[in-house]
Amino acid sequence: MGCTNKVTVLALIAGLVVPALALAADNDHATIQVTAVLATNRAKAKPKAKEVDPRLHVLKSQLRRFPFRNYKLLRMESYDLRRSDQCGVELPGSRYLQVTAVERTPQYLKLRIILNQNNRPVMAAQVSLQGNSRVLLAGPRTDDGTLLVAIGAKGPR
Amino acid sequence: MITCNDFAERLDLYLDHRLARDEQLSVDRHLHDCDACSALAGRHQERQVILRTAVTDVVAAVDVSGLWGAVHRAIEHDVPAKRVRAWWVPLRDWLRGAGGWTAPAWLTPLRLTGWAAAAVAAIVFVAFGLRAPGTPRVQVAERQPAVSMSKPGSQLHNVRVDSLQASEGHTVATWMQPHTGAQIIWVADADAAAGR
Repeated sequence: MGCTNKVTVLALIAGLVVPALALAADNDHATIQVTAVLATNRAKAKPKAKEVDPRLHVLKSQLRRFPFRNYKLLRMESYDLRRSDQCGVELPGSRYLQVTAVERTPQYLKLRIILNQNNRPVMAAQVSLQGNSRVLLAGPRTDDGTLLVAIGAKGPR
Repeated sequence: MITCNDFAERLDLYLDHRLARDEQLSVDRHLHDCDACSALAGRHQERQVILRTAVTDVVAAVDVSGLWGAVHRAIEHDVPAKRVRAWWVPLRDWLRGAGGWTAPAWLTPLRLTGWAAAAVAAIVFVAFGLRAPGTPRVQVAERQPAVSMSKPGSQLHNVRVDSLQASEGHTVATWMQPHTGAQIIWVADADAAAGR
């Protein structure tokens, strides 16, 4: 086999293998978005207005159902995770939220969520998210109010 | 416009999200204006959370991780296997019934299947293969798009909490907001849950 033929065969193999690997990698990859919100019931200058940070418009319908008046965006971060990858978000009150991608299938994304406070785990949950869905972690109190954290999946389907 | 008394009468329905949409909006407006009613609703909602949390604490002590697998296996086990009668059995019985006739070697089930397939192929060939040139063929129905697993806007319904644990001194509960379908995991200090 001549040198040109070898190069041609290698190019053909690369042409078949590389897209396959890219596709496999794409299926294994997921983007998650973590949105931390501080909810309070402070008196407002305009009593009729419910103060929701405009950047939280995606969560507005869910936030309205909580018994709070003011919703302030603390953090909004996106992370690209592959299987077993993890990310962390610092939260007020010496808290730290750790999210690990456990499993990624075409149907769902399985996440392990651990909330730590003062370097000790407070809560651990495993959730499966279908499509671009999200789960809301709520309740931790701070001096300023109550924390709400939305953890959502975004990514290729 | 509803008054504080109207709200008090509707409090239970409001907390259970069972008010009609227009009534819900009226109550929401009233709660924006009235600090006393808003505080009352907040207290009741917090108690609801504590109650759910307490129930969940008890439930969380039971390991149900293998429950669904066991349920599925039980269902599959309990469904009686459908008895499928081979298609050639009636034919064989009929032939046997006709004077004790014994089926020849070429009429064994496997060979009979082969004969049947050949017959179907011949019929198809005659029906479609000998068609005059230019005769329009049967049009194949256009393939329908795959059905989406989730309706637009209902993405929050597609969350499943597989497991949930809280460390000592904390309680955790999960529930779904009835109107939005949002899955909530509520974490609270045990002191707060106990009402202290």
